[in-house]
Amino acid sequence: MKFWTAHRLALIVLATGCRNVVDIPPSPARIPVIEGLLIADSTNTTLRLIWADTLGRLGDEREPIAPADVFLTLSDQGGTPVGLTARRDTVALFQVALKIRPGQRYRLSGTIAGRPVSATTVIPGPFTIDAPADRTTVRFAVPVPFRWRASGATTYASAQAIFGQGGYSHTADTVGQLNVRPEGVGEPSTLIVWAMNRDVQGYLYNLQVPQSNIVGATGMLGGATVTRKAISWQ
Amino acid sequence: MRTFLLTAIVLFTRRSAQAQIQRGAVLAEIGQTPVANATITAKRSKTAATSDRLGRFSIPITVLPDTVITTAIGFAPDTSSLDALASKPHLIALRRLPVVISDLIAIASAEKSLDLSSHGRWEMPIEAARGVPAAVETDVYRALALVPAVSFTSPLSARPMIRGYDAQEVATRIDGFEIINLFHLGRMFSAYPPDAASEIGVTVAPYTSANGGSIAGIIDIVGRTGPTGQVDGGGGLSFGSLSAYLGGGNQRIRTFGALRFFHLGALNLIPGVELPYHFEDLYSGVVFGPADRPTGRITLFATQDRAGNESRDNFLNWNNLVLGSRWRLLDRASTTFELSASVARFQEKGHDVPGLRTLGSANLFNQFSRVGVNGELVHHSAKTRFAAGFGLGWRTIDNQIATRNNGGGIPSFQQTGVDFRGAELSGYTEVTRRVGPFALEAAVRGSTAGAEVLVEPRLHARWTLDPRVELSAGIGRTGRLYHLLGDARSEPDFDFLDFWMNAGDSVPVALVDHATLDLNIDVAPIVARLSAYLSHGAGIGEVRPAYDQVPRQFDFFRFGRSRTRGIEAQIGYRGDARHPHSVSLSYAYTASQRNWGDEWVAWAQDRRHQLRLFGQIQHKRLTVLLAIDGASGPPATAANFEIGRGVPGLPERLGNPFGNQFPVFGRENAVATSGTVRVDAGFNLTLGNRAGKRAILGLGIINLLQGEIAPITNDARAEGPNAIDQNGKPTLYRRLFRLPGVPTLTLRIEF
Repeated sequence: MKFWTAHRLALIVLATGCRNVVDIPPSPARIPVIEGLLIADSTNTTLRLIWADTLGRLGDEREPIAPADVFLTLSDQGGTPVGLTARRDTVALFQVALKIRPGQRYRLSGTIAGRPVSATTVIPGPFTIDAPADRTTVRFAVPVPFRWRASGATTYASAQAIFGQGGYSHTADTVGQLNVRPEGVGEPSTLIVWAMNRDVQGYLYNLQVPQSNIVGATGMLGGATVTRKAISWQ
Repeated sequence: MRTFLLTAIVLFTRRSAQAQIQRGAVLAEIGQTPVANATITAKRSKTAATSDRLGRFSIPITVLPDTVITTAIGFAPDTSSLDALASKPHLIALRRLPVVISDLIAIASAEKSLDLSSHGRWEMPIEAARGVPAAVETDVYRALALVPAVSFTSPLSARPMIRGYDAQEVATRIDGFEIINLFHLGRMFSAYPPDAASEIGVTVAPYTSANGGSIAGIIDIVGRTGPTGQVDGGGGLSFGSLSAYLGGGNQRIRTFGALRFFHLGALNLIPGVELPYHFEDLYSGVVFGPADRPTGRITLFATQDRAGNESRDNFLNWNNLVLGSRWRLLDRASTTFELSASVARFQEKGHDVPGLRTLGSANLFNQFSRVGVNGELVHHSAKTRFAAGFGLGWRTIDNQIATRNNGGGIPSFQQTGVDFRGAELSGYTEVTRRVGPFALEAAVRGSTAGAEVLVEPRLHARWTLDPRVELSAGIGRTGRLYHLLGDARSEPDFDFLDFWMNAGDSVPVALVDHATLDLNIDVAPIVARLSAYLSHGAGIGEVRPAYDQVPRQFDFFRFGRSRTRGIEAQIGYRGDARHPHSVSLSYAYTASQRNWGDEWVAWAQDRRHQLRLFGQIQHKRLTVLLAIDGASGPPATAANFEIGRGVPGLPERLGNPFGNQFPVFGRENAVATSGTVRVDAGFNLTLGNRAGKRAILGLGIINLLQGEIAPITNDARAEGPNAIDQNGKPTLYRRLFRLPGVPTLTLRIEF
């Protein structure tokens, strides 16, 4: 908005007894959204690339970014950049074949429709779960103590667990108690726990508004380490 | 810098031996209470001085006999003769007049005072503060609306913002002693009882070097002093509150005390939550020594707030305490030395405190305290004033905020665990020299805490063009070594979390360089003041707003640069003693921007244009008050896009835990919004003797015309009809809240 426009608006508004008027600048060009989680020890990572919806156009009509507009590479420290390629089985998904190592820094860079885009993330270190032990027997509605750690992780999440009284599937704590979700009670099951870095926390688990770590676009390039524990219901 | 100052001292002091100094005191005629900030002018000697908080002054005299003219806001000018210098203080007794609003515009001094602390300063006797239509009751912060340099986010806030900087960058003092967080619930009101105030002063940066600890300005509340040889008392009643005061004494000791109580069985500030709430305020002051030359003062201020049910583990309690003492150990005509010591402590304890912008609640324990000792030496002659001072302090910060339900989810509050203890050391040197019609001041202030060192050079100048026209300028640096980070706009939720942190490691020192210019014109009955200012700062912190989605060093805070510029024009008309009508019209243009590392953007409270009119008509026993406040709206941040999260490879329960869509915000604060206009009115009816026993019945109405007084925002909590855009199409923007007219009835009794 130009300087004189603001002043003109202010004077008009004061003179007309304060109507409810806003002077909104023209909407900027479309914003690309990149979502990718680099999981330690994986060799192939899938990223989602879409255009952000114009506000108010609700629904499932996500507009994918055309593969021809995407020139992005993923690189590790000192390594050769590996290009993203579009998956043929579906739209909006791209993949990159690069070994992800715990504790390593990765950088995504390139352009989307001519717009420079970049992001970096550091994968959490090795994830150790001291408790619950493997093959722990759990009972319905009985809390299970946990104790775990992964350097560089700020959030721990499990789709099979409930942490605290809020019914969340994630926690910041490294020591505490969890309840195993009663899905498949009586069946042998696996507790899959994700140790995720600050970039994931800011994007997925910020209660205000998700924070993006991508420059030139929005979304997230995050890092995680995954560990599994077998459990059985009593 | 040291060489420069030493040279300046030598040059400035070597040719001023001819003058002799006369000590004196300015007191109110009735009760002999001190008159602070009076201007004392020796007409033939062509010298001037300003009285301090206890009415004391020292003025150079070069010609005898001389005529001494004394002026002070709220008092009739006085002319006295000085035939010979005396070791006894020259006593000036002023007759009190009804205070008129226009007097608050600084009046040009007739002579060239060596005290440049009045540059960028507004002084407001409490009687003038009562000229602002009351919201519930007179408030020392809200009354600062009379000062064009001060603005507020809305009528629901008493947080005074100064020249494009937030209230958290402003320091408040009581009798010169630091007070921390002087607020009652929701920061709607200050915690200082108005009965205990004699004067409120606002000094914008760069203030003189005797002061530090603020980057934007200083608010100084001067407490009342008990009268000599009589007893004054009174009390007041308003919505929910009861207040009383009493003061009196003799030539050896004078005491004053004021109390205020507020109690509400069920306060409903938070939707759906009713809490009992009460507070108690206490101010007490004792002045020692004869009224015409007091030797010392002790100040005690204490307040406590209790909200919620402690028995149900759902409460927020806070206490505030200041205990200070200042003594003049050396009181020679040309040289004085004062030593002061003070303790300030703010303590806050809460359990299960709801976070309205979040889903959780928090337990908190905050305690901020400072213990300090200060010394100040002042020496002056006819043309030179030299001041130097030191300060030693010990500051502690305990800032513990923890989410209520540990173990569940990511903290919904910013959790903190600051535990800081550290010494502070400061010192300053200031030299002022009169050269013809100019007074020039060079000063430097240094402070250190931990590993951080802060050097603040400052220069002030005053040019008396004519006895009625005065031009003054100031350039200099202000800074502080710790941060208080809050939310510039707490309403309508009245969030009350504070975050304190000391500079060091990754937290920068706040530094702002200022340049200011004041032009004062006094052509009775018209007085006018024109000010212009510029500032550039770094290390400015704030709580990171939700619309800031850019990756940063801190999750919950952000630090960046600032720049402001603006002009303020104020013109006033004052009637004579028989017809004390007055009107003050002010216009302020403020542009305030921040750079958080990406680009310069408007500050969230950058309102650009503000027009205020205050009027006062007095007819016999009835006083009619009118206030009109019009301002352009604060900017907003547009949400242009929205996205739904869906991270490949992550189970849906983990990949989108709080719902589908979230907004993607555009350029920060780039949306202009229409302004606000508010009309307040009040009536005071005085019964009884104006100068003696009397009762004052007051009625105030805030937002008399039921106008739009809340900023427009795209916040989900906003209310009312949707705003339209520049093309007439409805938008998602609405007024933040709707406030109908608020009437207030007050009763005061004085004897």
